[in-house]
Amino acid sequence: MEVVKKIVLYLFGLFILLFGNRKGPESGVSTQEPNVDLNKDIEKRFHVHTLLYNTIQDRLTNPAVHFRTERIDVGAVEKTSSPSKKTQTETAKPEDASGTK
Amino acid sequence: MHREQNKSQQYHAQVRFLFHATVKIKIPVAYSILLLDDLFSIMESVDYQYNSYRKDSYFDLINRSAGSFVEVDDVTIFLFKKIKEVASFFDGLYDISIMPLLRLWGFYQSGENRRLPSEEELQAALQKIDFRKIELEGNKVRIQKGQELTTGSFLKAFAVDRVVKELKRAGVSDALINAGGSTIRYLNDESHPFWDIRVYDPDVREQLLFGLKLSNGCFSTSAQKETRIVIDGKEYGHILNPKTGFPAANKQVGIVGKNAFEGDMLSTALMNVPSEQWKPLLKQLDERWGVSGFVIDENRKITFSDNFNENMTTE
Repeated sequence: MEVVKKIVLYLFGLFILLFGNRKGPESGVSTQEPNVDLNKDIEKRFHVHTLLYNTIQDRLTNPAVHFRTERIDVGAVEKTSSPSKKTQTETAKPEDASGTK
Repeated sequence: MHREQNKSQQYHAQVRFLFHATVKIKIPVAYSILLLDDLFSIMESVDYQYNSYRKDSYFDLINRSAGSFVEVDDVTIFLFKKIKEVASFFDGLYDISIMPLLRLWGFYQSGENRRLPSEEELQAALQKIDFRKIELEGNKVRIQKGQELTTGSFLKAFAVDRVVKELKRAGVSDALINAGGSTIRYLNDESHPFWDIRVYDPDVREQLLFGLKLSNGCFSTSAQKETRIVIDGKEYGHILNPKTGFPAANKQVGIVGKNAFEGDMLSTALMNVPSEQWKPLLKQLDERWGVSGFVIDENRKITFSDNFNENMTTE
């Protein structure tokens, strides 16, 4: 009886996997084309840039006007944390405690 | 993602200046140096979001909106709940609304025209200090008009705990973070069972008091050593008693605990507790927060909790 129960449950699970989440008796993948043309007027909705490949310099260039990151000199800026000039290698030497905050 | 190969007992160590302190992070050389960038970024993130000295941080907004509720994030609420728990346990001897008193003593201004506050000025400042007047309502916080909070006694340590969380997530089991010498958080495993920590005399520079061998926890210490102001030729430490308004009498406190955030708050609070009250109090602290510690009082008498000397060495 247990074996039968397991088989029934397995087949039920398989049925749900194959036919579940459908929209009705006429279930099955719809082959109907969507009504909306997703590519219609795409140029109006997105900025489309055409990149050109420079074979001599071996790089892509974008002739269109666009925003890009530029490094500018803002002078002395107080940074939140300044990395040390280098990372050192240390052993597991004793660490000094100090009560100053 | 960051691991290269297994090497032991050698560490990448990098130092940066954060939270007005020198912060060093050490990770085994088996891990990439890039991990250090990630870890310091975590501390910077905490700094930007919560440091009361940073414009537009949550605590700064709360201070500037005194008298009105400010919507904050879950972390801020978590911080306040833990802070209030410690403040309540010490009945106000630890209080983050102590900023008016710090300003009165001149800790955030130039040394010119510093003078001892008068009794009236002290009383006026003390009226504004009361953690019980910090209201929490859901995800909103309000302090009373005239109150001002400071994150100086806990935020750096909280950031250190965040770093440790990330270290564990990255699979690092042997590491150390030394934040200003006052918060030293460490991870250990079988290959490196303990870190050596040196504790120095608060009055004699570079005079070693004792060493500690510690494992998987945090050593937090508070002292009146170097952050002082001078008024009429006399030095006053920066850890003030929120009840009397005067600098704490104890010279140094050290706490060995499970995490940095609690340790930092507890060590600050204990600076205001007379040493004769320590023994019974430390038993309660051990039961509640799992900590042990020592105090050096104004007469240089050292009191240890019962189990503290298990960690001590003379090296």
